[in-house]
Amino acid sequence: MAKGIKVIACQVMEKEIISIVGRESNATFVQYEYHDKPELLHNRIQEAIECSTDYQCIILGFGLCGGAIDGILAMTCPVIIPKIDDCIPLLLGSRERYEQEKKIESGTYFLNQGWIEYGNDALKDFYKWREMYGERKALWLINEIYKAYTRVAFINSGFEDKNRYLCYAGEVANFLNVKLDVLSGNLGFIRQLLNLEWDNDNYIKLEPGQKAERCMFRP
Amino acid sequence: MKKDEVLLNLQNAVVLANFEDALSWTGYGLKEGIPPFELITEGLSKGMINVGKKYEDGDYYVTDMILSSGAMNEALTILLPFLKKRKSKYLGKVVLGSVTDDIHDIGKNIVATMLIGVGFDVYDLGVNVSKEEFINKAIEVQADIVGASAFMSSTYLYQLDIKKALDEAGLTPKVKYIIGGGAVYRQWAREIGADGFANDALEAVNLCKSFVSAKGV
Ligand code: B12
Repeated sequence: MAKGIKVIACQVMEKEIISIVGRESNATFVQYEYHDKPELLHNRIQEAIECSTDYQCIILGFGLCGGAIDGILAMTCPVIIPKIDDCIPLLLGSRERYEQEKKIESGTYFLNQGWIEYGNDALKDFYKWREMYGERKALWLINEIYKAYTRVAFINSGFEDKNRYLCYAGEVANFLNVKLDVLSGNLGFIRQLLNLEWDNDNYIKLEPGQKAERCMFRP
Repeated sequence: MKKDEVLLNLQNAVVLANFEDALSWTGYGLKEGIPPFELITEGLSKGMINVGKKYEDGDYYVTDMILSSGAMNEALTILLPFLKKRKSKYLGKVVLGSVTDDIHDIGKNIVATMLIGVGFDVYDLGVNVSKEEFINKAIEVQADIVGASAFMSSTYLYQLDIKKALDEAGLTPKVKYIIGGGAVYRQWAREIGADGFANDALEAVNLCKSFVSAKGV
């Protein structure tokens, strides 16, 4: 008897997903740190798929993510993947909205609660690099690596404890000496995905035995 | 001090990302009459090649590599004016940039540093560079090579637009078009008819060299 739906997603949207499917759901969250190494992320996701037998279908909460999804193989049940390059459209509600925000300001660094909790940002980089190289080199690195950034955008998914995170996003913006914008998050895209409402071409469906390919993500 | 020792010290300064040493050994080398070009190719650049290897082997982090290339660039600010003044031989002119909507640039900057290190004149247009900017610069400086980086699956299609624009401007096949960056693959370079692709900076350097030597510069 099939167990229903399994969700495998990035930690970065853990809270958004739990808010829709509930804590008791069959959801596995993959650690953010694989973000830097798409090959490792690929292996983690494939392993999670292989461990998920007896489901009706598996939904991935990832974009192509630097190629991590390329070659992902559906095993015993279909695998559904949103047709996006990275997770930001899921947080903003659509690809169009993401494009729009990048047109408004190409040098935008996006943060939501999950990125702040688990992911990376300039302040965390600074503290890590200060340990490794000392203050002067750490600051030099920050200047070098974040020089093209002109704003930090906090995506507000409307959770109760948001203020703490908003405050932190402000600290990051302050540190980089750029402005902070608050963008309203939109869970519509994630909700559609989780509710199996794929009436448009926003999703890729892999049948058992089928592999994901990069070109499937092209618009 | 022997010339070899100075060059070795310069290499080490880059490997250890010691900005002060990179500057002071450069100054010392110049005072000793070592040609600026040699300080770059035999000193700084060899150090940077080492750094690249350490990164490949997993001994260095990306940040180590960025710091090393920073130390090398610091020394280059003193050395490059000498090359320009004496109109010394250079291998060719390369226009580089990250494509439209892409503001990643770590990999591109390392490629730029390494190309300068072996004697190319590099015009780095920075990030979020439109096809028009690539074309205009290539025409303005009479580039031999145009290189475009894309680090995101959402931006690499712009590499095709640049190829088309180069064709339309009549710059190809004289100007070689090369692509790279984390989002792209050799196969993509073939698909769009680019002249070359490289996985890392050393390969990029060899690629560029292969074009100019073929041209007999
Ligand atoms: C470092 C990094 C950052 C840094 C960038 C700093 C900078 N100044 O570049 C920071 C933290 C700022 C950052 C920001 C973002 N990033 Co980022 N980032 C990366 C990461 C981890 C590594 C890239 C890198 O520098 N590698 C190291 C260099 C040395 O390697 P390289 O790039 O491959 O370069 C070598 C070769 O490719 C070659 N080469 C390079 N250029 C050229 C050119 C030519 C002509 C040739 C021949 C060769 C060549 O030589 C280079 C040297 O050896 C990648 C993941 C990955 N592994 O690629 C994600 C990644 C690119 N980022 C990603 C994302 C999502 C973002 C953000 C949107 C995140 C956010 N929360 O806002 C923002 C971008 C915002 C925006 N407005 O677009 C995604 C992109 C997904 C997509 N859309 O395709 C990736 C793929 C991560 C992932 N797994 O999803 N990022």
